[in-house]
Amino acid sequence: MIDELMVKKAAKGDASAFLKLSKKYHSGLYKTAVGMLGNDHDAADAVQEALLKAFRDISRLRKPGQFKSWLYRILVNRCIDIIRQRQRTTPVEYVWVPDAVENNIDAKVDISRALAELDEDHRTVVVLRFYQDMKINDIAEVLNCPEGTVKSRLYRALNKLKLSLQDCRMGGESADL
Amino acid sequence: MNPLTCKEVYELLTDFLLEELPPEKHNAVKNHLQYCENCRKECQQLNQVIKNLRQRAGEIEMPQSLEKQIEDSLLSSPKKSWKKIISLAAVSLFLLAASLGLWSEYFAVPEEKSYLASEEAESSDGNAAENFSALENGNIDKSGMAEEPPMEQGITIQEKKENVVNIKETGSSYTALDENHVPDASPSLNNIQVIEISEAEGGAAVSAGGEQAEIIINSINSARPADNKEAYRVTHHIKVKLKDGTEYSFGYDINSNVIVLNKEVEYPGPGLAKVIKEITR
Repeated sequence: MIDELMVKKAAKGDASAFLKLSKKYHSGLYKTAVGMLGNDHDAADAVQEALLKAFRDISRLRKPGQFKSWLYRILVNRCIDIIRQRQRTTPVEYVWVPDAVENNIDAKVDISRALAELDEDHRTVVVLRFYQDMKINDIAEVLNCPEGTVKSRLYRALNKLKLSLQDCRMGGESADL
Repeated sequence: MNPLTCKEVYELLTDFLLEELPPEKHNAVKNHLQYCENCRKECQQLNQVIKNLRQRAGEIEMPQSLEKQIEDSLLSSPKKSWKKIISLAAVSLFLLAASLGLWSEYFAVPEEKSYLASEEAESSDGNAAENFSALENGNIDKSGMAEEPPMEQGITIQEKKENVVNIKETGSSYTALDENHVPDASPSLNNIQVIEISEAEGGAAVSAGGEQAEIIINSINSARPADNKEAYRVTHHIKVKLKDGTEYSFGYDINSNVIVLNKEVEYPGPGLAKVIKEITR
């Protein structure tokens, strides 16, 4: 109920209340954005833009108890916008550019690259599940889809990741995803 | 439980690795893996993927500079400036009216109304409004996800700017939030200084502690909006003081089991009536 009051204060334009309310999610939002986008720079932009949009639109949030899932949904949508923007403006082979070259540990690069090769829907569930430790029902609320859909996406995504990593290690072409 | 087939195990492996299977199924998968080399190999590979994902997630840290940037951009966002302008205009109007001796109850109401009306006008333009309309019409946005979960129509609280407001018709009162003070968003037993319960008809306030305090806080924090027309008559006052100085005073109707704050009626989580009875008997 206190959170609900904070949402209502934020809805009236109180930026401090919004900051206090959203602060506990900043780090999680950033991790999610890095998982979705593969680099720090875009992730920082996505988080900032998502938070500004959330602050601007918070008066439309009808159930303050859903603040977290609503916030994550805005972020995921922003990340997908950025991914699509890149696909429109960047040659396919350069779409994913890891910025962690200095830490070029094989496993780290492999998993990030394999993740980037997943389509948006599959990548989203994997990131929310393993970067955020969100439960299936929470992910379903963020994505506004049935739990069964989340489960099947997760199942397929993990199998694709597995095949992709195998291919990476064998030095071959990645699986057709 | 019958032994599982490889196909069944294959379908359960992810949940098995995430330890989200019921104990009976978890053990059945475990037993199968002990004698089936193919499934064991499959399990190890999936486990490696999950391990890599978690390890990668653990390595990501948000730069401190980003936290500062977020703070700066939010605090200087146009919404705030707009509010500030309106607030200043409202204050100026108030001072002008007061100095002219025109202040009255009648005049006080439109000031807050115009404030809210401006906000509606402001938030009804731009992308957000388009997305919201799409949601209302049952459309899905380009990513296949609606921007907001489908939310029920909520109850609007008109927060008062004074520190204490008496609600004459019910006899209840509350301490409203200080406009310049942001309280702890999630009160827990750790940040609570004292919880006091008193009967509306008079009598000394009694402090709640231990398990009773826990139940009261859980009940309040998990309260859900009730029917706006819910009839109530406040029988008790619950005052919660946080260590950061914030105070909340809720009205409680033990007969209807509803709590009231800012005239908003909410259904508390379980156990509140019982605890209040115990404390005040």
